[in-house]
Amino acid sequence: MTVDHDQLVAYALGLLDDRQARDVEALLQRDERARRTVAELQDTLTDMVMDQDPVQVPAGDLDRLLDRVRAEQTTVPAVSEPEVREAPPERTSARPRRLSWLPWVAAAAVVAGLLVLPAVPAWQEYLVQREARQYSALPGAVTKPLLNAEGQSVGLFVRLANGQAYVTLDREPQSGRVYQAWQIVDGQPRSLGVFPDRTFLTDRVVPEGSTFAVTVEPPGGSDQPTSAPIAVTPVG
Amino acid sequence: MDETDEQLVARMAARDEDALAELHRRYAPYLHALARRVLRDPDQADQCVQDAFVNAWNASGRYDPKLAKAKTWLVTIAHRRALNVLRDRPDSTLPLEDWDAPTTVRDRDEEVVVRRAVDTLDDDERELIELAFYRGYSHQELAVVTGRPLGTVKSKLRGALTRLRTHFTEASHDR
Repeated sequence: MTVDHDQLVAYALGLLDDRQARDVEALLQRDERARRTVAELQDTLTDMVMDQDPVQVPAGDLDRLLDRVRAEQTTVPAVSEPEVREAPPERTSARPRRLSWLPWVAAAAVVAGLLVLPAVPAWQEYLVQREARQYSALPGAVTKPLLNAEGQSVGLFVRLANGQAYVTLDREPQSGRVYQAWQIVDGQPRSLGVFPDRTFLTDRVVPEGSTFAVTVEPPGGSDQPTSAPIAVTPVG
Repeated sequence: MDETDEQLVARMAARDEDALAELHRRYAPYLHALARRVLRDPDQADQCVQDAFVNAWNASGRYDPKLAKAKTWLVTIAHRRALNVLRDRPDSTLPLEDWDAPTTVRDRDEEVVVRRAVDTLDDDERELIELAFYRGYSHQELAVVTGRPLGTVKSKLRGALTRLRTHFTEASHDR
């Protein structure tokens, strides 16, 4: 993999696709000079933003923000968009705090009914199921099973109030492959990101009225699905 | 003395809502301006900024001040979010003519010309920065849209960013 200065510029400007961005992030992990270059570019763009005229903040903006963070009561790491990718692309996982008891009970029932999992180390499965319950319990979250071609449940799809989707599948992708999520509208697939693990949070919104699908792809993902989906669910 | 942005992010990681409120006070006006410039839709822009602050709140525990200034971290979160929203729209392209041509603002009372940093760029550089940063056009798309060779697009974008960096560096020395 070769990353040149123009790729770093494109990265700082937010112009790269998921695969290209991950290439750059892999470089940034090991190349301090590249990290300094990207930091300087992003500082320049930030200064440009701050150099523009500010606008009136909508009335109640802060109150709505505080209401929202209190309601979510979780730590959902920003992005695989990591809007600033300071560290290796991290799989997101929920660290909720102070969730009330009642939503957990309801969410546990939903998850238990939908998530049929193969034999894996019990402690790993416990963590996966706990994470799934936590996402399902978030206000506005809608939980559905992910089904294979035979109509069997192979995972869980949780669409959050803001449109992002938390997904857990019953197994890791096979060695040398990754999962790629898609939104399908009018038969046209559009990538929602590439994920190396069986659980992930999309950084893009999954629109209502679309179909959500997961395929297995080569590392870095594909421009179009290269095989039939292993998991599908309608959204909304 | 005011707390630094980095100190506020550290407090956010400890779930201090006052720290979030202070960062909101400092930067929301600029993030709303950024989001509106990218998205053009005030409602989408407002939601985008909300999402950005929520993402920052949730990611504050992983913020490393050695890797980025907190201000840059926050602005980048908002910018990325805005571009993602833009790309998720069914028709996220705007005619070239709709991009804002920058202006120099003349304060009539003081006859002072407020010169924005982008005004130090030539027309080509300004256009490319606008289309890349505020519209999310890739290098290849910029070459197609502007009719310039890909190499020229890359070279001009590099030059534009260098010129902006020089402007801000000199401006900070002048203060």
